[in-house]
Amino acid sequence: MIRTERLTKIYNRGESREVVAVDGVSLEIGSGDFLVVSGPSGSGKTTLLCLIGLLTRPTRGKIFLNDREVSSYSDSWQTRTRREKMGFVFQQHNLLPQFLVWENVSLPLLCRDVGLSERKRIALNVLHRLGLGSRSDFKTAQLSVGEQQRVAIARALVTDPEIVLADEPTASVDVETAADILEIFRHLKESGKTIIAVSHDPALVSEGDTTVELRSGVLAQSRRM
Amino acid sequence: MRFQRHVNLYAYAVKCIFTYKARTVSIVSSLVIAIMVLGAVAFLADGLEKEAELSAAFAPDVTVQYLQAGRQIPIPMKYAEVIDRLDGVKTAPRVWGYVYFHNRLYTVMGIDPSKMPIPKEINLAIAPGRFLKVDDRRAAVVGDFLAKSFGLRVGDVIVLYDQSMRPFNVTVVGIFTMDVRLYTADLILIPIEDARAFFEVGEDLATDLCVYVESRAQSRFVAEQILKNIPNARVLTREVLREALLAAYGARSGFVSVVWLILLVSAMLVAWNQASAVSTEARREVGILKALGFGTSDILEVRLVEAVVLGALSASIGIFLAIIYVVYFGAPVLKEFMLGWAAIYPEFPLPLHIKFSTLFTLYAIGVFPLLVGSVIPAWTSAITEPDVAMRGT
Repeated sequence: MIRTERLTKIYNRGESREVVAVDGVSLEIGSGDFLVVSGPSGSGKTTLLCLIGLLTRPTRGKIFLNDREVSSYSDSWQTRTRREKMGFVFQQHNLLPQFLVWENVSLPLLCRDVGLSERKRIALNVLHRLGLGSRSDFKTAQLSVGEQQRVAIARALVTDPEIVLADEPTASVDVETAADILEIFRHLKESGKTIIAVSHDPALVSEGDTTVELRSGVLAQSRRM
Repeated sequence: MRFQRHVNLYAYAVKCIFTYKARTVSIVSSLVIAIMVLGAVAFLADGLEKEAELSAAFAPDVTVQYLQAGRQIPIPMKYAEVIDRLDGVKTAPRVWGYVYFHNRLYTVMGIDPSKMPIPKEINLAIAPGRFLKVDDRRAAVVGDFLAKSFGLRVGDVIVLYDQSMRPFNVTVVGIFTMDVRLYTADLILIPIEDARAFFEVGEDLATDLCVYVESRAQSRFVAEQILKNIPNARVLTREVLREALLAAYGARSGFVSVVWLILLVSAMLVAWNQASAVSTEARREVGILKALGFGTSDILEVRLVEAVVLGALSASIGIFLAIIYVVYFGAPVLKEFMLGWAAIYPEFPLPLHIKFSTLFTLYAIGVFPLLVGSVIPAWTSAITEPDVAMRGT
């Protein structure tokens, strides 16, 4: 489903502070696979996730989605692909603090022909599934970090995407919440979603069908479970 | 329903206005102040210009005054005969001056209805009552505001004091309407014979001569002929008078506009500063929206609607306050400046006039700084990779 060919991303290219974040990474992720990218801090995991999620363009190399080379496609095409096929869980949650929980969750539906009542119904449905039904009318700033992480996951799932990309989904939460989040990812895997998660949480790593390890942007190890 | 997506985006834009309260209040308040000041100046200037146009419309084709050592003095009536000799020309003398009445300065003007062609519009300008007739004596047509100030009605008697401080009674036969209030606010129009007696001006003199030309296109030629025949004359055509009135008010409103421009630039800077102050947050928000599937055009649509709603709201409030300031409060400070010498007139309502072009300009001024201050930064964020924009850098 997703394939990368010698994917390279260089920040501040040609400058003294040039950084090679990802260096010649080739991967193949099948439909319904659960890929976990691990590695030490600064090894390029998040950058690789952003490249696969079409949030940034590679300096070199190619990304294939269903055998179509998509990395050079226009901004509007990539935006449409993100809208229709992908759901993101960011490490910093990236929620809008002034908005209510259900409003944050329903944000990806704004660009679709879905009316207010339907948007709210879908958002509440996802929130209930994740155990946050009672928090729907709270502002996100009023929630705990673990709850905020689950809101971020709800937002990623509200459009029922084929591909879920998650950046350190269990990094900033307590053990109990991490277990809840792992359970959510198990359910997603069972429902046939393609999941790409960045993590160095051994529990999450053990859930993956495939684990790849990055060191200084280079693919150091790839393991199929 | 493809339009539902646009409805969602508009709703999101409006939601942002109410959500980011501090930014909204700061932008709206700075724009409201700027638009209120400009609106008050513009409405007053438009009103004064309209009044000036009306004043010019009621003026004679050519007004002839007489100068001695560069100062105006009464003109000998023999010059009326000189002017009357020109083809297609009719002359009417006027005797006028100022009088204090209840500690206010009023213009008493004497005219000769038998010689002065009365424009048809004069009937529309008088209500209630009538204009002066040829055989009227000790009769007066007064300004609307003068009538209201003293509760005068048609048939009432005004007691003025003449040059020798003797009581001089005149009976009100008509009252000018509101439409010509600047021109007539301080006016007491009486027959010329009464004016001569009141100001003690002999029958061989007049304050000035009104010249009416059969063909208005000939006004300039007639003016040149008068200047040739009466070397010490000062000749004012209706067009020159109109331009002088417009220039006087235009110059005043122009000066105020410069002051306003400084205010507008300050308001724009505040609006821009607000956009900049939240730029990191706004840029991050754009990055998040892009990551969630918002296209560049969607983001611009949101920011455009936000700017238009905020700008239109600010302009509407500013215009409303400007009208209240002028009509209800009588435009303190601005009035003294805008009216200049006219401020020594008796109190009268300010001439408010709202032109469509002025309204359009005010709304454009409300919306434009915000478009520049918010849409352009949003566009630069929207064309940046979401990964970079989300970091707010």
